[in-house]
Amino acid sequence: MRAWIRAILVLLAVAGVAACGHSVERIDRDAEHDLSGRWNDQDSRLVAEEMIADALDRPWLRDFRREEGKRPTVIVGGVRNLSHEHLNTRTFVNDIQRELINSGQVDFVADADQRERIRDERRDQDLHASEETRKAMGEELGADFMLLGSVNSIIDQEGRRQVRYYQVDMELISLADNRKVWIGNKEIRKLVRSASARP
Amino acid sequence: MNRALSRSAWALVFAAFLAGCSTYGDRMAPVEAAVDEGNPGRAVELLDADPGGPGDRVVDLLNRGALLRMAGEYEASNRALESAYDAMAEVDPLSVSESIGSLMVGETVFAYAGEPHERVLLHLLMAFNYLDLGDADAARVEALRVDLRLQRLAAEQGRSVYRQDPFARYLSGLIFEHLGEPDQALVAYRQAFEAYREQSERLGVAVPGSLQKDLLRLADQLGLDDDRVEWQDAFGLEQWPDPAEHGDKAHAVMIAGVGLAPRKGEQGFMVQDHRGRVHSVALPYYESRQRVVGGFRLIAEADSATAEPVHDLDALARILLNEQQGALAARALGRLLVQKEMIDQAREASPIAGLAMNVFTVAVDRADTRTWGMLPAQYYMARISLPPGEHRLALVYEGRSGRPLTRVDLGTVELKAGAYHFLFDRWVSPRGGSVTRRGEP
Repeated sequence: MRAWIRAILVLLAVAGVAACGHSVERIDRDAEHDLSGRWNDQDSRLVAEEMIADALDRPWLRDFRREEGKRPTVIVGGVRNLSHEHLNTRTFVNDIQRELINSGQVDFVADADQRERIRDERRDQDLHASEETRKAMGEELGADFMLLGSVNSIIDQEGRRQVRYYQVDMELISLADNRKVWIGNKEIRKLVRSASARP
Repeated sequence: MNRALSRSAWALVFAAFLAGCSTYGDRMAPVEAAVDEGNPGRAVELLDADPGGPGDRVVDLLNRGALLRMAGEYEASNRALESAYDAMAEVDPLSVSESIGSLMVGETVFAYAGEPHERVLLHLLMAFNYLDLGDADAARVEALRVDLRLQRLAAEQGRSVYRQDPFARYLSGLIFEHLGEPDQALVAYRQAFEAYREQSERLGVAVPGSLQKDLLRLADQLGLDDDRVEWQDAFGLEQWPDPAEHGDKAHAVMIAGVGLAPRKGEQGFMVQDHRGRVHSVALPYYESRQRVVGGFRLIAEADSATAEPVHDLDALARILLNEQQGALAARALGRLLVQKEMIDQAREASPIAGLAMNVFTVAVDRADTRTWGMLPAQYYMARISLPPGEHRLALVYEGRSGRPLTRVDLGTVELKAGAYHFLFDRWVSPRGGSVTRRGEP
């Protein structure tokens, strides 16, 4: 009987040691670290990169430049989260904006909240800035297209296994006539296995 | 004489040890007292001032989340509840050390992972918070998470009465309908109806009349004639809202939680075997709380509606504990055998060591009295449909005999056509009345 008590004590000691240890290390932005299987920064960035690359490679861009003789101006309207988890859609929108701006193929205008803040600043300039440096009201660049999107998910689970499927849909809509000039989607599928035991 | 002295010494040692071991209920007593006085903010401070160990992290976060919600701090409440959700996932896998420890010491060694209904209610409270914050899309995320949880529950709770949560389904349906997804809403309403029907005998909560009308109205709207005929027969209803008229009106949905979920106590006994070893068995039970509120009325300028019971957490918690008692008793028996061996091993070293081990095993073997006690005992819901525009709303809590207890002025609410406006309140006790502190949306 003593043997099994010893065995229990050894197991407890092993469990105790396994529970110890906390460390932090800086990791590369592109290194793949998917800890929980949930939507993460890498999903957000990769989807934004691929979708914007696809959008910029489609005929609407060439057509617009040919007809209007200038780069189109785009605004991100919003990305609706219809998935099973609370996603930070703001980081996804930021990723999209960065990809669009850095492409150099489209102009980009501030969103509604930012515009309000900028207009406040112009109003302030009207009172306090010198005439040479003052920026006038009514000279804003109007967007030609609005980018709207949604993130959906389907989760299939059995026991401790889960298949998480995310579908990101994006549409580019002409503000002049409501025409949808581009629709893109990107899918991500993950198999998540949860641990069945812990120390 | 020696034998009498020995017994007295035993009794004194036990009493000293047992007095030193406080239960979770003891720790929560001042928190409950602050809530009872109508001061949830003070209750949060008291909870934070006396945190439990790592094994109590989930239950502390759940109680914290519920208290912050009462205090009108919806974002902080969601942070606490989201942390509880993550902490549940961490302690969900079976722990080797806790399993072994529980055989020697008791059930309190297990990290608290939440009762089945608490793991569903977590998402409901988060949905309430998001609706209070005006973020219906985020509330929809909680409705989807409830669905995932309930799928898992149906698989895990094969023989339990609680394989579905009808109120969680009903609320999900309302959220879907609010967001313009009637087909999704109908699926949720249908699941709610089936769950209410299945559980009504055990839990005493009938299919709400408002749910019956929702099903018939959506069956009309979506052209599901067979379903409409079946439900009309089942409910015996002749009239329900016309889908077009329903779309033109604005709808206030008032959900109130009343009382507090039952407190867990400990019942135990000690036995002395033929070799003088003393063994203790301690099992949890739910203590009854006084049930004061029997419902409420939602009052607008020219109309009013009577609330219906939609969830009885008090009854559910008791039923779930009863279902667990067999397993708890079996584990207690296994623990007795292990503790007997531990005492014998210690006795072989020396009689004093044997006595000390016996005192230790009796003192530490306590029932697990941890519970999400800041949940309400019951939820009631009232619905009222009004012309779009501004309306002054109030609710009046009523006693079990229908006598008015407390009036809560909900202020002026802007209601939009075709939309549901969700309102929440929390009544704890006759002393504190409604403890809800409404934050700015």
